[in-house]
Amino acid sequence: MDERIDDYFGQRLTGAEKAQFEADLKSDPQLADAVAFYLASREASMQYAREKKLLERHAEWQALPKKATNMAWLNAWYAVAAAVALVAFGIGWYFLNTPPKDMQQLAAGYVMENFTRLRQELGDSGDTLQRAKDSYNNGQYATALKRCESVLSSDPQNAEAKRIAGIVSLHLLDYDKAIDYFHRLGAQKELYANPGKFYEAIALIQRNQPGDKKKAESLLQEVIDQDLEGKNEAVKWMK
Amino acid sequence: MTLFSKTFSDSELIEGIRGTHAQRRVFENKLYEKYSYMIREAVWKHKLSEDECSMVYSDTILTVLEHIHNGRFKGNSSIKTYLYQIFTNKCVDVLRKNATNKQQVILGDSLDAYLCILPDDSKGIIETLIAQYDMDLLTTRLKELGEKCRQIVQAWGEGFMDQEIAIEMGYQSAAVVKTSRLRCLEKLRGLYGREGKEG
Repeated sequence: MDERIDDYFGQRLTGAEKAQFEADLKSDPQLADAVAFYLASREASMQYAREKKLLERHAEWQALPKKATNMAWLNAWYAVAAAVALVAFGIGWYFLNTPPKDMQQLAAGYVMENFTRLRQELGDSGDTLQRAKDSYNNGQYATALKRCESVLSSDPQNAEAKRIAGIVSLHLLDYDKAIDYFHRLGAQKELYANPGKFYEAIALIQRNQPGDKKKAESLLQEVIDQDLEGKNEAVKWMK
Repeated sequence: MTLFSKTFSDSELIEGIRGTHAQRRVFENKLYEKYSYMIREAVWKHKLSEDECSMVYSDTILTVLEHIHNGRFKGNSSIKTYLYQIFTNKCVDVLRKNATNKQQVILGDSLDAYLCILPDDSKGIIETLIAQYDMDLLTTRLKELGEKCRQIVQAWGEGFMDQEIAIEMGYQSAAVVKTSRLRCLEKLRGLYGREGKEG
């Protein structure tokens, strides 16, 4: 194994050595393959270590007593309280015969259905965004985000880059970033179809900080009033 | 069920998980139990098997525990929301994995960080080459390495520095660890062989 590979990723090469290594990498397929093997091995060993830990903990958690055994703790007082609660629930159900809406679940369902895989579309501007979508679909989220950011650094108005960057950030649970991307997307007036406000509402619902639900509802109302993308879902969610 | 057993608040759970070793284990298990109902929900919602969902849930708990310990969980949302998002994402990853014929290298954050060191014009090529490696086979070959080699490569994969590995495993110096580690990687490469790569 070429020691330079380890030194390169350990960032221990001098400027000149680094430049030489990168030049060699372009012209030498064997070196490129060795680098790929080095990185794949690192990932495999990391996954192996974690998998071992996961199997140990999974076995431990499977052996935990099931919650149903807690019924043994039931005493008369709790039984009365449970009965009263049941009656109250029944009355409430009778008068408010509508299930409570859980926007969190609705939003999670939408994300699941629509953001699991990003569709490749004709006319994606350049290779970079297409590759960003590939990276996302392969689970390479940091790479996908970097690609979108590189497009946005040269083309700050690129709506698709903002959309993908927002979706990736959402997947990485970086809600602040996702909200920022979607907010900037939603502010673009020149687009024929703009899901920015709807997506921003989703990110707010998922972040779930105090005040987020209200902001999300206000955005969903805007989506409905202005007939923006996501209107069908917004109408259902606001019912 | 909250009527019948004590339910810990988020802050109690986090404090317990960050506590002493003995206490930590108890609270980690409490966290597992508290949201384990998500397994049944996921079976119905994602049409995955109960075994798959159960393993994904354990994986999620492990991830959340790691995030609580390393400070990545900042408490901006409740543990339930945070956990639910990770659980959903991991279910999506399983669906993706099930949809492909062969396990691909799903690049984790750490590998992504390494790829970002590479110049843009080489990154794509290296990514393509990495994707040709069969991770299952690579892991199998890793298990076949001798005990010492496996431990050293595993520790490296977990992110330990050569200096730390030297102390932990009784090597003379970090330099010796580096030489041994690179030799072990070469051995792994030999074991993996060319048949492991797609044509």
